[in-house]
Amino acid sequence: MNLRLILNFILSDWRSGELHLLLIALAIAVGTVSSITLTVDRLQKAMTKEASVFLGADRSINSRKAIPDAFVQEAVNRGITTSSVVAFNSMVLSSSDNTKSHLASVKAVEGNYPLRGKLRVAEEPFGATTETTEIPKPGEIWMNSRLLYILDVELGDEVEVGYATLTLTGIIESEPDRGFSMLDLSPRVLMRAEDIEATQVIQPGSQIDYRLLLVGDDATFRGLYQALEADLEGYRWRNVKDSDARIGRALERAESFFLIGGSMAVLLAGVAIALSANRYARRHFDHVGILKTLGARPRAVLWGCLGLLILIGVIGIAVGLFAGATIHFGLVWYLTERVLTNVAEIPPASIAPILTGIVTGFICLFAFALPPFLDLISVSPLHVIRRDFRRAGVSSLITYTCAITGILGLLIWYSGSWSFTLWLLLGIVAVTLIFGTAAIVLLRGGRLLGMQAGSVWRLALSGLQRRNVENTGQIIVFSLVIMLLMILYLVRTSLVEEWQEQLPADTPNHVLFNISAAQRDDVEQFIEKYATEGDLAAFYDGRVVALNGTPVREYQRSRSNVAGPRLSSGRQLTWSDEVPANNEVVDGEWWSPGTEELLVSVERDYALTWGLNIDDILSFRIQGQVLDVRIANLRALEWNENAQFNFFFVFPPRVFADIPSSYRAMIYVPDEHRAELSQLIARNPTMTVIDVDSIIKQVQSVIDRVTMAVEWILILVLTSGALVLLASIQASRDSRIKEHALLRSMGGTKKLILGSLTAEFLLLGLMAGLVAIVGAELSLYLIEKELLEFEYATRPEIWVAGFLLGGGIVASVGYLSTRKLVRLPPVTILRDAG
Amino acid sequence: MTTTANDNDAILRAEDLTKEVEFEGASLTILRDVDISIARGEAVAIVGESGSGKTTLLGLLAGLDVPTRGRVWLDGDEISAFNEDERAQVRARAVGFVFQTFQLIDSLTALENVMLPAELRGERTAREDAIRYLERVGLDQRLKHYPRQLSGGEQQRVAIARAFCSEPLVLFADEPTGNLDTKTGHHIADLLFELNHENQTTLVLVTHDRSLAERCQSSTELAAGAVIA
Ligand SMILES: Nc1ncnc2c1ncn2[C@@H]1O[C@H](COP(=O)(O)OP(=O)(O)O)[C@@H](O)[C@H]1O
Ligand SMILES: [Mg+2]
Repeated sequence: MNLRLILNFILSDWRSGELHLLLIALAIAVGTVSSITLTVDRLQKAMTKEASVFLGADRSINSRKAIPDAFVQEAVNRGITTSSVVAFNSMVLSSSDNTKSHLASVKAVEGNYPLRGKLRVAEEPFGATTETTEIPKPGEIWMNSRLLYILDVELGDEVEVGYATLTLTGIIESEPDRGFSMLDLSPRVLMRAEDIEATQVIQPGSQIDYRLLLVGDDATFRGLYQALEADLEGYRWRNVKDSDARIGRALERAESFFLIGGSMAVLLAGVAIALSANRYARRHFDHVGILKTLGARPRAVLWGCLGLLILIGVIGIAVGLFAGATIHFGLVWYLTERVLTNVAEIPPASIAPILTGIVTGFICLFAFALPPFLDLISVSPLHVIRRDFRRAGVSSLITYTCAITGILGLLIWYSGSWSFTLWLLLGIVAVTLIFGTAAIVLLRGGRLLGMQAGSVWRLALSGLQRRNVENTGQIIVFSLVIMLLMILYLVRTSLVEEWQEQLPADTPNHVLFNISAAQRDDVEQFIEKYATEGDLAAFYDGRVVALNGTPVREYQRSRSNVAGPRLSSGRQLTWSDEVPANNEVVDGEWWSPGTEELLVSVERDYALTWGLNIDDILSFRIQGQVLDVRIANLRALEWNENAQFNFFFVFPPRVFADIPSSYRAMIYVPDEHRAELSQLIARNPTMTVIDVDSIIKQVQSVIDRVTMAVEWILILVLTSGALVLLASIQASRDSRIKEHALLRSMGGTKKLILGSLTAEFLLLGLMAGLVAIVGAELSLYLIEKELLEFEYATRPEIWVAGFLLGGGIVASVGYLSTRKLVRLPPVTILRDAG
Repeated sequence: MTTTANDNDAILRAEDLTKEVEFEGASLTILRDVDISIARGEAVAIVGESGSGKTTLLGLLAGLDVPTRGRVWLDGDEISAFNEDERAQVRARAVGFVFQTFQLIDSLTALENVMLPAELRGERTAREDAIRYLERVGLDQRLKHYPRQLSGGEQQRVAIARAFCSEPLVLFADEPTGNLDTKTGHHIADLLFELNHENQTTLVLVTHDRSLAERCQSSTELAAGAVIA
């Protein structure tokens, strides 16, 4: 009988709309979390997959030693697809004219190559290129345009690699796993692994790169890695992030961002549920009191409450999942159909994010909504007789323990990181304490100010004061929301800016090698007419042979513990009259243009590593001549700047007066001028061009996709932030209804009350904005330094945004959601409203 | 007792007051053709069974609600022709209330509750007046107490102090003792009449308690929405 009574109450609550906000909060919580996890899960997979093009696989094992069959077997047993690649340098000869030969970098691949990405091939030398996944058949060979020119061969001719004779059947310009090295000089040759034996190039002592390309899913790779870990000595296990530093960083930071964004969504959702549940419970003390006077036992009420929670849970979660999936599929559709039309398939959705949504829903519900419901159970029947009778109440200790345990569990599960969760929670507890204090101080100050203010503001300020406990809570919630949103927005902005800076639209997409002094003018004219931005530099091969008279090998031995590039290795050298762009002289002086002295400028870190100082004498062997030069200055430079050439050693032009020079250029050629570039190459066939355009475009498309994902997550989190604001304002509705009716009966005009309400929310929002700005500045300082490794800089826009968001949004949301209250006829006061 | 509608000395006057409400598609008349006139300084009781329309009538007379038909004059203004904001201004200037359920604001102290109407009018000297009225109702030791720290009787005394503090021309009290035990109810009624006398206020007292009604100069009895005596 009791249960039926409880059921009736639930039904009537449902009809009167009492349960709606709780349900909506839950649905949005589940919806946001599931759509974020679904989207992140799939976008991340897609990004990784796209980025895997740079590795030509999902993982690879690289070594100078042959990859053991046991590795392949282990991988195959786990259902991983493998493909072996063997790369070596070898002379390639024309079969018809053995005097025509050149050193090529040969890649021998298995039949299933490429596992990821596509090859870029041309129909004719230096002609237009297209993408393909085909590869040479056994007995065939594909070569780069330049080799065709040097060997003077055409498609169908025979060429020799070592002892093997192969038929030339294709022109290859690039392949997926070639990496992004602009200085990989040797022309590329692609052949089949089956033909390696015939070449006889693999001899003890020969320099061979072995690669085992692997394609499979992450979980399987973890297993494989564990199985092989002990035997990986001498083998490099590489994943996509290792293949390109930019992509690696972009992916890692995007992951951090998703983690922060997702956790915030969970937190915000939790707060929204807590607020709505609290409101629901507060409004039901009477109901429960009545039930108890009618003889309902606490146990029955408990079951009723639990049943209600589970019912809300099931409905809310179902609706939330549906909404989350709808948002997600819409998003994916939008991304693939409208924005990133040229990218690979997005992998299918998995079941894990759905599970995340469901678990999030129930944990949120029980951690945040159960405590106020438990409060209901302990309501004394006396509450009915005397409305103001104070209930015993579930201790706030239980409430907080419940909420904190719930959120802790959820965040740990969600982020998979204890330390991240603890930091986040500590941050929020600290922020809440600080915000609480700040809010109380601000409210006090407001009251004092209010004494002097005009009537609307005076009323608003006294309104703030009147509900000061509630308002302190609201300021905390508002400022938390605003702060989280600002942080997320700013982190996103920094990320996107940084990514875009890395690859500006005019990033050089072609590198020209072997430009002779005679061809230099032609190239310079071409750059002037058709190419944007370029770096043109003279290149000489040389090496250091002595330092202050000590032979370099001897000197090197005396500093045997030094890691890093050797001092004795061959280096590329150049000359310049001016400090090279983006270089900075950090010690010593740059020489005056046209100096006759034999000087050198050394890169700072290199000089530090090898203990080189200003005025030390370095002896260089440059193309057969030995020259003694004095170190004039040290330069600092950014190595991963990819729009220009960088050098360890730069000399005044005088040093190379008697040495024949060769130039290289790094240029950006827009698509419409590719034809002119082909003409330039055809005019100067000894010149080499390397086209990195497709690689740059791929990097750009990965970065675009990451950016897009980051922005969508921001929007989703913004939505749940708005919900919290709404829930929080709704929660204060009840006391406002009663109060407004009373104020109206005392003769407050609609305008006055509406004005003071808006002013009250505006003040509340401004206070929250102020508190949020301080919080955001502090947190950003920590997040950027510790989590995202950014440079921290205070940002004027967040001060503006904080106040605008705070004042503007809170005031308008507040106004819109309480406007209706003021419309209620004042006669409700006689009917005991609220 | 009903006086004529064109009685010049009347501070509150109603003519043919009718209130109909829509209920499930049908129109229900909850107040029918009520004429009433109340002289300045008079104390009038409105009596009747529960559900007879007393609260409805009080709401119309005080300008909290608008009649379906008929007219109401309060202090010379025809408030039934006013819009909501104009009526609010009349209320601010001339009307005070005491409710059955006290209607104090939980988050304000006794003193702040009493100061609220003045604050609403933007007056700044309310504090001394408020303290004076709280002393008058015997709560000078409880200025800083919140409603939840006060008994029902004490809460109603705060409400009375609040009502008189703004020195209204007409005070409307809807079952002011309805939520109190008999003894406390008597004390509250005594206080109400004393203050009414001291301030020369016009009192409209809704009650179903005959003994309370007898303390007024006149009384109007309602039954089923119509005046019967
Ligand atoms: N908004 C309304 N809708 C429907 N019926 C109403 C409404 N307001 C009052 N009534 C009805 O009008 C009658 C008179 O109500 P009321 O003035 O509150 O009586 P009293 O105060 O004398 O007890 C009651 O039967 C009540 O149910
Ligand atoms: Mg009544």
